[in-house]
Amino acid sequence: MVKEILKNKQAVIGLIMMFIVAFIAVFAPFIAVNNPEEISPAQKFARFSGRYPLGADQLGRCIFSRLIYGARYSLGIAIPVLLILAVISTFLGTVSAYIGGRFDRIFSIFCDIFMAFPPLLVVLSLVGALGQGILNIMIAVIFSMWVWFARVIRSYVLMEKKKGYVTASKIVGCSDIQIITRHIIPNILPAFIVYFSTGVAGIILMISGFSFLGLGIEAGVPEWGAMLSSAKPYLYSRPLLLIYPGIFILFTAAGFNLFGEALRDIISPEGG
Amino acid sequence: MWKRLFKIAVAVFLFLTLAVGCWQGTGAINSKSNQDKDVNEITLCESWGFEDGFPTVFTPGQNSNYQAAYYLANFYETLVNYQEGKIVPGLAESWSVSDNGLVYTFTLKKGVKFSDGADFNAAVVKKNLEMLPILLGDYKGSYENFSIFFKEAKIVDEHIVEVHLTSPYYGTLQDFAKPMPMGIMSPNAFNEDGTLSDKLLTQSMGTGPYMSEGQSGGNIYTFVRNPNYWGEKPYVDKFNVKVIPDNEAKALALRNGEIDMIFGSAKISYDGFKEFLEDRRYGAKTSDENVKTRFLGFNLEKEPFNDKKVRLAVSHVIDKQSICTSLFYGIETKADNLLSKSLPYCNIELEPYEHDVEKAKQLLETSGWTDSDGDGIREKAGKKLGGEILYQTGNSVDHDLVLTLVSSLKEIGMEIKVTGLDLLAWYAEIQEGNYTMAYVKTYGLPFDPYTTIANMNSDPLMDNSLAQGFAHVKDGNSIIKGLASLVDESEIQDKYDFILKELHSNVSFVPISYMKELVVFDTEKIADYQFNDQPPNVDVAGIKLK
Repeated sequence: MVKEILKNKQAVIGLIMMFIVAFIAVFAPFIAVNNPEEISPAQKFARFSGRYPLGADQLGRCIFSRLIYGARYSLGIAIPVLLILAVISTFLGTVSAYIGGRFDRIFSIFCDIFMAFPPLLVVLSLVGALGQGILNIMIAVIFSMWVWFARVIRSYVLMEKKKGYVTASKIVGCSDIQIITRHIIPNILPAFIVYFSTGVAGIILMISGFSFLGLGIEAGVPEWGAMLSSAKPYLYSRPLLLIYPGIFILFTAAGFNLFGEALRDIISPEGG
Repeated sequence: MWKRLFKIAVAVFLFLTLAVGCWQGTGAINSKSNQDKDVNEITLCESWGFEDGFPTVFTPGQNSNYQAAYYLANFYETLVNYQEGKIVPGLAESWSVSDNGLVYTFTLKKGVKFSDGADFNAAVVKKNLEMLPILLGDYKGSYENFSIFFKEAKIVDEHIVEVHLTSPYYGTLQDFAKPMPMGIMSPNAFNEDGTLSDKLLTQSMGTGPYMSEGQSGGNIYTFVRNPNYWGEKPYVDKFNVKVIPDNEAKALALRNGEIDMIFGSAKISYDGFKEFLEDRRYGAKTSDENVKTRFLGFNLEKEPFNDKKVRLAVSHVIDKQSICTSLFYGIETKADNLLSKSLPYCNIELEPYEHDVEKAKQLLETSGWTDSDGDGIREKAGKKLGGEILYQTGNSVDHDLVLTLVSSLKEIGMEIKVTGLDLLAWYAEIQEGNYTMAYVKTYGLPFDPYTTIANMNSDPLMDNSLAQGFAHVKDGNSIIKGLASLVDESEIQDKYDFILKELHSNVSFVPISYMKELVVFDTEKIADYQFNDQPPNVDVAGIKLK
């Protein structure tokens, strides 16, 4: 599988892009030249210089350092959110599909009700109730998204459940837990990884989108979406303030998407 | 064959779209330049439409925004006017106040007519005053206090009217100078039962220099000269107000000639203003008069700001001058007094708490706040020195200012969080006392200083951010309430001296800067703009054309 990935150009490009962003996020304190939150009004809109490689924003903060630290927020929020989503949705989706019957029907209805609310609406009301804060936006995103993931897992499990090997394991006397953990989950894992790796890009965009709207991220935090939002008034006078975070969001989301899609082509070429 | 035909069809379609677009564009420009030849016409912009028409009373109960409130001075006049801290004649040539402060006698101007042809006289004034408390409803006292104390209006003769109060109120004349809600409306503006006529939805019925001509194209409101106006003819014959909700779009509209002027600090950012200021094709002006004060308020019941030394340290660490020069481009000026000295009763010398970081650090040390664990944040008895600043979201200048304040406070080892909330949530948190610091603005002209001081009373609690500042004074509420009914000017001044000095010495607030009103205009058409005596009012008569 690793060989196949390395052979696929799209996957390699995506992987390199992901690696770059991850590298930036991990080594942000060494790459950044200034404290991203340090305000120096005298340096307002400072030009490109050694001290400010991409200039300074309206509060005299180093744009370059803010962009670098922004990677930490984007990945630092998106990846934990995705992991939690994966655990919750795998558990619920598998259990519901495996037990089946009335339980599954109730679960489906419950999912339908949840899916009727657009994620933005759920996040808006949750952030309104819980208040601003990175933890709160994570809770809100998980709360609004788990159902979409759980449904996909459920349909994968439903397909697997009908296959001969599950019946065979039942006949040899495997317990339900054994069947789920040893047989079904390993079999749906590739499809599952593909689904989640394309999901990262979606969640990164979602978080940037929410912070653009002023939801979740506290004022002054160097998150890319929030940077876009605070640069809005300078759309005509200093468009670069908007373009920089835009490029970073595009780059990160594109990296994850390219890789996810290439992975899908490798694992299930017929579904392409 | 089909491919070629398709290509031709696409080309023709694109060409037609282009032609239609261009044709409409030039059409619009032509119609504008045709108008220019006949009449002196200009176009302004506003963020919202005037769907609720042109009455002089707008209340949150009935209206979702300020509607035409800031335009009323063009259509309506008041009995008196406010000019640089003084009350000067308006529709009343002269007035007198009885010794007990209960009776105001106004002698009205003669020969004044409303734009709908009705005569202006004592009966009209009586009608307007009697209707005011009813029109204000639950909001009686929100924009003025006069309606709370109003007892009756008596007609002495056709041009003399007596206004009786139940108790003296020292801000009565200032209230009479507010176009909203004290602009005098024509008798035809009222139905027989006293409610407002539906005619006001499209028509203005005042004695001012202009009147409404109705709405065109859905988002343009047109106003023309009032033929019955008694005063000097203004330069502009006709003006339009175009509805453009987005501020960036407003600036763009001014650049491409769609509008001729942007009025008001709410409609243009300081960065936008500066760009126009540096561009010779545009004129950019700020009002001489200070309009509002930006300040920090504290919750004096909560740690750590219940300690005066901590508040004083905050006062010393904020570099107001540098904030004004760099963040506000020098448009705003440094504030040392909560209420600008140019306001009535507020010309009081107070020793400012100058920017001095060392002194601020020293104050915290003496108060027992030290950084014992070396993390840059001070502690006392295991508690970190910190809190939060509550501010209203939606304005980029406010947002930037709050972040700058937080970064200054960090310099002296104070860890402050910022919490941005929308207006209603912000107000609710402050009223509940769920805050340590709040970023606030005073109500501004013409509500300063009267309403600002009145709301320092905590019973009933109108504004906790202000009431907190005076809560430490014994009998504070009765002092504020007593002030309202004083008659003797020197006694009023004494009370002001006491209140303002007390607020200052207790460091109840940290004033930051005085805001100004802004205007940007196209110099090809407009030569100058003279701000209204109450600068937030849009005053088309103050526009000088080329």
